[in-house]
Amino acid sequence: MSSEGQIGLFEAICISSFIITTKIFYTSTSFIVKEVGTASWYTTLLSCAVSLFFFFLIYLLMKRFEGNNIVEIYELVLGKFLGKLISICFCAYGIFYAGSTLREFVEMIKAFNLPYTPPSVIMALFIGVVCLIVYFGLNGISRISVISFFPVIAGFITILVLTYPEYDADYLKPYLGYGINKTLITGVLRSSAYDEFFILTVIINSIHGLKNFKKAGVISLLIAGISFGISVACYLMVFGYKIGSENLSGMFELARVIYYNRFLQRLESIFLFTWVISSVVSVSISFYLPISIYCKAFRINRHKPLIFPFSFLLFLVAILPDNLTEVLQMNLLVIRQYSMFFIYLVPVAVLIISLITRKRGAALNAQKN
Amino acid sequence: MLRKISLFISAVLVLNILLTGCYDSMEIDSEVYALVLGIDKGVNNKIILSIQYSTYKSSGGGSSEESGKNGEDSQSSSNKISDTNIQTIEAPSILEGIDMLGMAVSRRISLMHTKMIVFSEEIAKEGVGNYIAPIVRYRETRKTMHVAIVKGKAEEFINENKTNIGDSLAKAIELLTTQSKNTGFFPEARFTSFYRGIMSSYESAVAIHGGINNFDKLPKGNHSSTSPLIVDTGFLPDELPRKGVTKREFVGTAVFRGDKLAGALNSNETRYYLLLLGKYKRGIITIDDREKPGNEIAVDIRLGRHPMIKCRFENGNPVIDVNLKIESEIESINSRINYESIDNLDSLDSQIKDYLQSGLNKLIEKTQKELKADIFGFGHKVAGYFPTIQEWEQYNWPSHYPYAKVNLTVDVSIRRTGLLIYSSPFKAWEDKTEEKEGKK
Repeated sequence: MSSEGQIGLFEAICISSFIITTKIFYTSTSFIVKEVGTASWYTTLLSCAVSLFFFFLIYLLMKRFEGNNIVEIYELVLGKFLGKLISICFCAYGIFYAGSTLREFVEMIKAFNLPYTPPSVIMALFIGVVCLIVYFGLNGISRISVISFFPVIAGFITILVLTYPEYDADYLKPYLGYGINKTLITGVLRSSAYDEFFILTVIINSIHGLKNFKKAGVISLLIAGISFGISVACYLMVFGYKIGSENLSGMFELARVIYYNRFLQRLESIFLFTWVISSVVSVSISFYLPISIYCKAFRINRHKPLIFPFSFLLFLVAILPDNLTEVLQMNLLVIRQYSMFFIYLVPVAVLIISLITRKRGAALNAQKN
Repeated sequence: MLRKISLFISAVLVLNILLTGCYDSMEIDSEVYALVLGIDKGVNNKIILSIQYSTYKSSGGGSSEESGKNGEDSQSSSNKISDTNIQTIEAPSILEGIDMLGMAVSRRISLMHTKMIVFSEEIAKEGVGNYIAPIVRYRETRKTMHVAIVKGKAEEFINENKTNIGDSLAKAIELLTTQSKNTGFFPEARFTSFYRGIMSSYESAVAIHGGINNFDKLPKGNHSSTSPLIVDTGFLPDELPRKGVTKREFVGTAVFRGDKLAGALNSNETRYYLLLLGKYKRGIITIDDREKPGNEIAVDIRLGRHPMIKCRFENGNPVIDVNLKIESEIESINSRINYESIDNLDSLDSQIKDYLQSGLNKLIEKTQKELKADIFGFGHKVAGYFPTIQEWEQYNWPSHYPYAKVNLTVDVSIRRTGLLIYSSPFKAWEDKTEEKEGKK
């Protein structure tokens, strides 16, 4: 989709970082503490390392087909029908991801701030804003990401710094959590929580090619890994592994324990600011992803006509789960624990197939000849 | 163009309505904000809930009596204390109790500004686990609120919870709880740490211990010829020999084993506890002058650095080494002995050290033998020896804590001597008078 426009390296990093790290503000922190206890802070680093490994495999695929995006690569390697079919699956997953993230946000904002507002109203408003951002395309999303990046980082750091008096590093003991095996398995599976860098493979032609793709992917994964590691460690140092696994939002609860004196307390408003901005940006990016894949798969030049129908799909996916438990134990479990089998393994399989069938991109072919 | 402008204006108008949060909007004046929640054991139902909330009047603590003379809230179950109302109801749960009070109170009761939750000792002995569940989960309650266990009924405690300093009871409660930092006679027990403590496998929970002082402990009658100096006297609630305005007081620490009240530390033991925990900020202690018994020495003590706590295992038993560095400042030397001199300073250091070491050792022994509760969080250090959570939980630290060996070393350094650098004896004048009288 040539009309997608061009964005710089930093913008690509912001986009990728936002979509990966926003889940820090949701249930992700408590969930990982529940799974691996005191080992969660380095389990997430392990997940980051696994993701980096898969990123390099995907990078090899992108390098082999330099100049092509992932949708085109699927078609080149697997043929038009199968390639399109897989692209449509990714497109459907993108909608599922965006809808589930939206629903998680709505459930949390209802639990903490707007208990009596119907979820459909919050969703409709949220989707309205998301559609507006997506309307301006990749350029619009990238600018919003860059503008929001520093305030969100500042809010995030502010919370972690102000919670300092509550920290007790001894809550990180016993250091191996629920055991090495559990840590390793969860670490590998939770690499799914980092697989959103996949968006870079879709927009690779808009980020000035392979070199920027590699830099943006590695840097955003490192930013996400470090942010996750630090925030989970801080969270554990305040709540410990027992009550740390209970909270709906780890970071929100961290913000709520800040109390210095009568004048410096109730700082979760900073968190809300950070949380809402990053959620809007994150859902916008994840909503743009399926539209972009769809456009690329069916050679549609303008994405704008698709925004309205896709927004309906987004709303449908978001409204589908009956309750928060279903969101957490079905949707988010699939996204954050098992999506790696789809997001990582399909491109890796395509890479292997391309190696077996000796297929490569036009640029490499030209170089060879 | 006109179409776009009208579309934009319509969108703004619609968003104005929707984005202002109509569904969850709440006028400040349409709610009352509970400052203190009191939980007593119920008779016909599970709990008796008492709520103290502000009445939005800033007329000072004493003049609020008239505020309740009219209006629907002035019923027999409602009291007026320091610009606040107190409502009590028997209910199956805290949150339903609050809703039930909505049948009597004209405004919705909000817990967003609750400063303190008070449990009666009776409930605390049976276990507070069931009662704190809604506090943990409910979105309005803040985990920065304080937790207090009171002698007698929580309702009676709240009835005496008033201030005559300033207008705001909310401010008074916040300042009262921060008195912990100024004196160390009770801990600053916030809900987060309390809940963490009762759920923890590393440590035991503590809460503020409170009660009502009936002002009957202050000795009456003639003074004896000599007033003996008694130091290291710890008090429990309702034991403080005082008279005054407010009857409610926070004295000492309520200690939990799991979610059940195991016992209490008196005010002095609480200071030792805070010292060992590294949360002692400042406070003056009085010791009996060893060189001249009967004369007090007052010193301001504070922690020189955070306590160094290390753990090791000897023959399968945990050994905990604690090193406390304490700094002090001389506030008074009644014996007028020149402890400020470089030759005598060590002697005073040693007196303070012995005083503190003895008190600290007694406290550690009490927590091991009597309370069987690791309130110091030594378990944190021991947990480092267990690789996994399963092994740590299987070890069951609470059952081993009473048998752990705790080695305590205290280093005391007098850093400053107040505004004086030398104590001149009174003795010169007295001696000369005596000599002259002798000559006559």
